[in-house]
Amino acid sequence: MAPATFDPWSPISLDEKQARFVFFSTHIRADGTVKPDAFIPHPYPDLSTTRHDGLSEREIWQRGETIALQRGKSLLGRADAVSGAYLNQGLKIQPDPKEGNPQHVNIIGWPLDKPAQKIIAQLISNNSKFKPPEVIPCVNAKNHHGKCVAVEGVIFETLKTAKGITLWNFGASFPNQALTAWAHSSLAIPTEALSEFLGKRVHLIGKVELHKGKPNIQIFSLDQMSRESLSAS
Amino acid sequence: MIVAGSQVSISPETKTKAESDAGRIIDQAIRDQMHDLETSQTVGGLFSQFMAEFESVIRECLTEDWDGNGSIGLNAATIDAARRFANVVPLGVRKPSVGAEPDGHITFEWHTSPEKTLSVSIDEWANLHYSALLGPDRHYGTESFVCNVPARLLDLIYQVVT
Repeated sequence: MAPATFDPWSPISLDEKQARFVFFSTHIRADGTVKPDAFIPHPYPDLSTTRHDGLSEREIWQRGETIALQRGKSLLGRADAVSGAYLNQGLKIQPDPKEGNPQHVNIIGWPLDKPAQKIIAQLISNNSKFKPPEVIPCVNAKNHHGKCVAVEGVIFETLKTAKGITLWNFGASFPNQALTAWAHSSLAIPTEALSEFLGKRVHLIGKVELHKGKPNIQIFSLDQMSRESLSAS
Repeated sequence: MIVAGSQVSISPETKTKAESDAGRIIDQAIRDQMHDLETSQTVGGLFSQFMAEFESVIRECLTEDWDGNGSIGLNAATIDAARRFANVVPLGVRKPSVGAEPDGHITFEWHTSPEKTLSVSIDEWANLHYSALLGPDRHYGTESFVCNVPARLLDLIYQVVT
C-alpha cells in the first residue's frame, strides 16, 4: 500500500517502476511484449506514466481503469519499466499528480524528430515487461481468441514432434488439452525446458490463436512462461 | 537518401511513375504476377493475414482522437503510402506486424528478438521514419518512399528477419 500521505515530489529511484497503461491490441506483440508504438509521446511533448511507489497491484490497476474510463477505452494491460529505463535515455521524470492518481508523472525531454523518438521508444520497450490485468484459467483461453492474455494452468504433457516443434499441453493430455503452447523448431528449446514445466502450474503470456477449434499460444521466447511455486497436485 | 537523425520530406508531386507504354506494360505484368502469388495458398495466406491486420488498424485509428488522448487519425495519404510500401516489400520476406502511433503514422514492425528489431513509421508524405536495434548497434533515420523499398531499409529488414 502507498502511504496515505504520498508526496508526489518524493525522490524517484532508478529502480522504481513506472506503469505505462496499454489500450490498443496492436501495441502488444504476439509474444506478449510491448511495441515501441506504445511509448511515442505525441500529441504532447511528454509521455504519461504512473509511479508504482509502493502501490498494491490492485491500486495500480485501479489507476489504469480510471484512465481507461476517461479515454473511453478498454484497459488491455500495462508495460512496467524501471525509472532508469527512461532516465538512461536522457529523459526526465516530472511529477504531475492528478485527482485519483497522485503517482502520475510525465516523462519529458523527448527529442523532436521522429526517428530519434523511435529509437528511444524502442530501447524503453525492450526494457519493459507487459502485464495483462488478469490471469485467466487455461480452460477459458478459447474465449480470448486473437487477444494477448496471461493464462495459468497445469502442464499435463510435453513433447517434441518429428519436425522439432515443441508442445506443452495444458489442462489435459492430447486430444483433451485445454490449451497448447508451442514453439517452432528454430527456437531450439532445450530438453530441460520440457521436464522443467511438466506437472507444474505455469503462467503463460501470449496471443491466443485457434487451430481446429483448439486454442494455442505460440512461444517465441521462454520468457513467456514462468513457473509458480505451487506444484501440480 | 539516408539521413540519420533528421527528417527529409518529399511531396507527392515530385514522385515519378512509369509513363511510357513499355513502362505501363511492365508495370501491369508485375501487378499480375503479384496478384497470382498473393492468391496462392502459402504466400497468399500470409498476405491475407497481413491485410486483415492492416485493415483492422485502419478501422480502429481512422478518426481523430482514436486513443482518447488527442491522437491524430490516419488520413488517406498515409494509408495509401503504407499500402504501396507493403506491396513492394519483396515476396518471401516475412510481412511486418502493423500498428499506429498517436501522431497519425502507420507503423510496420519486423521483430525477431529485442536485439533484432526494426520499426518503420509511415507519414502522409510517404516518409519512412525508421529505427532498428541490431545487437549493440542502433540505426535510425528517415528515407523517402517513391516506388521501391529504399536499399537502406531493405538491408535492415534482411538483417532482422534472417
